[in-house]
Amino acid sequence: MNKTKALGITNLIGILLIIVAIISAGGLCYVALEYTQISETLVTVDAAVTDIAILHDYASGEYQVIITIAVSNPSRLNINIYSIEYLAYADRTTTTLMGSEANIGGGSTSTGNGTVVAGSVREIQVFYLIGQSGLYLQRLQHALDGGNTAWIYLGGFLLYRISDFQDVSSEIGLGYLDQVVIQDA
Amino acid sequence: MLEKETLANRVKLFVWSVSAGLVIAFFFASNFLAWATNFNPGGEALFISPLMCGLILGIITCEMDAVNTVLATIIITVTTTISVILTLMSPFILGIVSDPSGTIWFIHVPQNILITVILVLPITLLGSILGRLFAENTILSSAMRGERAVLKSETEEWYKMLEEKLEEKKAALEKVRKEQEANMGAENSQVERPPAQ
Repeated sequence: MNKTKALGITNLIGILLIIVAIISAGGLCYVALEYTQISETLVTVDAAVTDIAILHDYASGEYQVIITIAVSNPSRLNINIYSIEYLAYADRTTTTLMGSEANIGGGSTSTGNGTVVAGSVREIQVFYLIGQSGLYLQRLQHALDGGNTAWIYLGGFLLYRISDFQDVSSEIGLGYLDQVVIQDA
Repeated sequence: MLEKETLANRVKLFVWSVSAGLVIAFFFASNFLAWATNFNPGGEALFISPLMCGLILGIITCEMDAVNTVLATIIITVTTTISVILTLMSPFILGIVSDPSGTIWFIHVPQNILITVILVLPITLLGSILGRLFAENTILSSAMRGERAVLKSETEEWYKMLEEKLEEKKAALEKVRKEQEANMGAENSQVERPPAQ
């Protein structure tokens, strides 16, 4: 009888262990699913500079560089754009375009750029000013060479975070090279 | 052919071991992917979960032979390792990431698998030994312990008797051999005797 009792206790503990294991297996599946979703987001989210427009304000003499970035998020998780950093270069030809002497400034925007909802594409515009005087203006005018067209190269990166997992962040490199026509503001 | 009870015990042992392996795997995977989940059990779980599961397994296998406990520990380690691998490689298995070697999130996968194997086997074994000791002193009833002691003394008695029997048989064989030798000696001496004149 005592032996039966001991066997009963061990079987009871065994059954409890099996129940805990079933719960753990569910937890394991949940962890794997979340990890898969995060991986999917990190792999599929993409960003690209779709357009650069330079507006010239004749009254103030300033140039406004407007950069359009398209962020596509085909994954199942929302993302928050955390920061965008970029540097722009302008020259008459592409051969000397990426040198430091062609740099016409850059910018950095952090937070507040908003959410890109799961399964959507969002276009973001960031801009910066090239003032009335200064090195950047001289370089841009040198690139324009009296005309209204210049080769523009833009390099940078976009940093984003997954909305539900704020510790998970990733960055996407940005690049753009094209001839840009200066427009009137 | 296996007896029905032995087979049932083996099935139970397997199911319990796989269950314990799943529990440990959950804590290990959650810990390795703490950045990707809302549940972080902490680093201590890497030591506590195999110890506790080993302890429980030691308790529930106290009626079985010690070799079964060791076998269960190995099954736990294998189950945990497979489950952790499946979880860590789930994006690759589900086809989300096509090349895991080139993806930054898979950098720590081999290290995590190694940690799993290195930690789970010895800690679970230690836990199961402690569990067996605990169970033998508490869960097993005094009557059962007495039964075991009686069985032990009976077995010893049987061994003694067997040894005595063997000694007797040896002595009898020796005696027969000596007699045969003496007979052969007597026959030889009759053959070699010279004929009487």
